[in-house]
This record gives sequence, structure tokens and C-alpha cells, in this order.
Amino acid sequence: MNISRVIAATVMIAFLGLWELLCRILAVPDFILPTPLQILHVAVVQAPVLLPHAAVTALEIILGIVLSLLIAVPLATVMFVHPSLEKALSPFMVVSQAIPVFALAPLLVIWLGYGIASKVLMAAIIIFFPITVSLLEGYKNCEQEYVVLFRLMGARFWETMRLLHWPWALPFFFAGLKVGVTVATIGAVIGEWVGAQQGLGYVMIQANARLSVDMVFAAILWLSVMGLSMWSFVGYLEKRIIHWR
Amino acid sequence: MAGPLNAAEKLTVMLDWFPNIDHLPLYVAREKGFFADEGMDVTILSPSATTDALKLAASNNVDLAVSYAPQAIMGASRGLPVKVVGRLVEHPLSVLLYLEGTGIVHPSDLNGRKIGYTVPGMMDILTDAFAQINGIKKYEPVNVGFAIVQSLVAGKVDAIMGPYKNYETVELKEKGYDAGYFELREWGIPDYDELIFICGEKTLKDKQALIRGFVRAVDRAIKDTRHHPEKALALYFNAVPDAPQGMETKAFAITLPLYASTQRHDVTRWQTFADFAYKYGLIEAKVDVVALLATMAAEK
Repeated sequence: MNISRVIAATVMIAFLGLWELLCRILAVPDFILPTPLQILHVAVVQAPVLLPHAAVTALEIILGIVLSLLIAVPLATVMFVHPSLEKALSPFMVVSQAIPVFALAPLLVIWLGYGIASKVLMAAIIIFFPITVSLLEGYKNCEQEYVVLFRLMGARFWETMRLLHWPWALPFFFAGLKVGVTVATIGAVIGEWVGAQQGLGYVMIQANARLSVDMVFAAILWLSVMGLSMWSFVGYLEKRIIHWR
Repeated sequence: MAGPLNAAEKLTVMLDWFPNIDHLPLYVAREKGFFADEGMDVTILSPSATTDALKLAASNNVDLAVSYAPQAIMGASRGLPVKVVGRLVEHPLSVLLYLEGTGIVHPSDLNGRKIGYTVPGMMDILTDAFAQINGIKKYEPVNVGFAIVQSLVAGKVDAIMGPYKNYETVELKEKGYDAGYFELREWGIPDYDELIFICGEKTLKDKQALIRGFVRAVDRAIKDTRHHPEKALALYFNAVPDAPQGMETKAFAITLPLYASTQRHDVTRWQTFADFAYKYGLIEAKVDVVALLATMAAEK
């Protein structure tokens, strides 16, 4: 076990311990803030209820990631190859992020229905931005000497893209993807808040209406586990793919 | 009658929702000085979610909260330390809403159709009870959230449980659609108070006289509203300038007869609803409503 893991674990335990302690000392009622142990208890006991919902949310997020990759990778590439397009499209991209997704959600649900499509799109709208921006920055970051070298060696355009710019941009791409997968849960959950029959967001709304705050937190706990797993998975992929680092 | 006191006691009330015509008596009481007559200065707050007010009252962070009878019963079954101290709207406003001309005249016509609901955890359970009671054997429940009018008009659902008969019917009419609805208490759901005032147990103990005065002022405002509805509405629009006046004027006509005619609680009616809530799974633990209700105003 390395030192950073020890630090992470210590901080986590200290934080949870303080939370548990303060709740008990100040006698905070559980409808305001349940203690970590209570939340853990509900998260485990209610796992048979929560996990099928978690699976739905996970599916929405994964499809959202796939969809955003299908948009972000070609978009960043085209914008890199044609800088004029970058100038033309950037305002639209910024606007897409400036609109609060919460305002967009009810509309998307009406347009795309109460099913999974509206949630996938919500997640994708949030994820595609960091991926596109990071990938584009990665392409641009390539040192000019290498570009000149490739040219001197007679590499064709797509060869330069594939063998130089793409590998060069990969660390940037993964950085963007990491940001993307961690915020993807926001899009999916907000989509579920405004119209869904399944998913952790739906559980949260339902539990809130029934005043079961412990269940709301249990859903958040599973959501965090999901976010953390996806983040670690992307980290693992990064290590496997960028083996030269 | 005593004039406004110099050292008026502060009292905060959190609404269940953004200010709307259902809360009109509160604004009348404030604007006409009924609260001041009781020696209090009332601040009205809006919540960010419908359960906020109840929770904040239970934790004594606000003095009073506007809540719903079903919500108060849910809170009581979870052991929240709250008391129902007053009444605002004495019958359900929530209905099962549908569009006229879609072949729905009786609840059984909803067999095999899509029924939307507004608040998961509450309206889905009421829908289920309504279906069981009225012989709707099969239906597809759909959570429509706040997109009530859009969902009905776009045909995503055939009916929706939970919209208010004084609001969504008017809103649909303005968009050119005729809305029909099934009144819950006419179709087997026990009658209940749509809007009530609740108070944290500690607040009630500490500020009993003040809460009593508040309930008296609300009662007075409701009676005054009945006598001078136009004046009351004008006062309300003055106090809530961004209210959609055209729509709320029509909503007011529907709401006027429903403001609480008395501040006395009907214990039997409350218990009937609490038992119903337990039977159909709205609450997991039985509730004895006597412990939940606190009568604050003597009948005149």
C-alpha cells in the first residue's frame, strides 16, 4: 500500500468519524442528517431495492459516455484539422454548458419521452464538453519539432494524426474522460428527477417525498460508489493504453 | 382591539410551494394587519422542495409550515416531532386529471391506459389505491414530475394523479383544452385537508400564545376573504406582484369555497385517512392522529 492510499483512507475515516460523532453529540435528528453508520446500514439492508435502480442509472451513464465519445472525438478532430471550425463552433459548445441542465431536463423528457433516451442525452451533454476540450488541447499541445520531423520524413496527413497527434493527445483525452465520467452521474440523476420510473435519482425523489432521508443518502452512497468505480476503470484503461508513460 | 404593538414578535412561515392563490388568506392577514393585531410580524418564505417546510418546522428552524395532511401523517409515522395547529384548505385539491374527449367518463375507462403521477412516493401510491378501489385492473404508471400540462397535451399519458383542480384545469383551459377530473373523495379516497399549518413540538411549547394568535388571524382572514373576495384578491396581487393575474383570478373562484371554514380539526376524518394511508402502504407505521392534532382556536 502506498502513502497516497494511506492518506486517502485516513482522511475518509476522519471525515466519517467526525460526522458520526457530531451527529451524536449534537443529537441531529435523522430526518435532517443521518449518521454514516445509519446510511451504511440502509445502503446494505436496502441493497436488493437499490441495486436494480443503480443498474439502470449505470446503464444510462455508460450509454451517455459512449454517445459523448461518438460526438466528442470526431468533433475535436475536425476542429483541430480546421481551426476555422473551432472558432465557429466554440460559442455553441460553451452555450451548451452554460445552460443549466436542470432547466433543460424537463424539455428533454417531453421531447424524448420518459424512457432512458432523455437521461442518456442529459449525461452525454455534460460529458462531451470536457472530453472535446481536453482532446483538442492535446492535439494542439504537440511539439512543433515532431510535426516538422514527421513532415520531413514524408508522413501523410492521416499518418501524422494517427501516429503523432493521437498518441500525444491521449493523456489529455483521458484527463477529460475522467472529469466526464465523474460528472456524468449529475446528468443522469437530474434526468431521473424530472421523469422516470427507475434509477437512483428516482429513488431519491421518492425517498425525499416519503421523508426517508436515510434512503436518499443510501442512494447517494451507491451513486458515489458508481462514480468512483468508473473513475478507477478509466484510470486502469489509461495505464493499459498509455504504456509508454 | 389592540393596535399594532411596538415590539411585535417575529414569526416565520414557510409555504409548501411558491406563493399562489391557495395561500391568499395569509397575505390578506398580513396586508390587513390581522397579524399585527395579534402582536406579531409574520415573514413568509418559499421552499425549494415540498418537503422542506415540514422538515424545517420539525427541526424548529421555521415557526410554522404549510403542509399537506397526507404529508403530516407520513411525518408522524416516521416520528417527526410536529403538530397540526391550523387549517388552510379543507378538502383535497389534488385530483385525477384527464382531457375531455379522450373517452374517459368513469374511472374504469382508465383500464389498460397510462396514468401519470406527480410526486413519487405519494401520488403513485394514491394512484394505486384509486385503481384498486375503482376496479382499474391494469394500468401503466408514469412519473411525469412537474410536466403535467405538457404530458397530457402531448398524449404521453391519459390521466395524471396529483394536479390541483384549481390550477391545472385553468392552465389547460387557457391553452384551449377542456380538462375533466375525478374528485378523490367522490371515488373512495377518504377526505382530507389539502393545506394545513404545522409547527414543531418545541416551537409550539415555547410560543403557544403566538401560534394561537396566528391561527386566529388566519381564521379571521379567511372569513374576511369570504365577505370581500374582490378586495382580498386585490390585496393578494398587491402583495405578490409577479403572480399570473388572469390565471389566478380564475383559480381563486374555484378555491374560495375551499378555504377552511373552521380551525377545529375533525379527528374522525383525520383518523380515517391515517388508517387508509396505512392500509394502502402510504405509511409503514400506524398513526394515532390525536397525538398529531393540536386545536388552537376556540370556536366563536
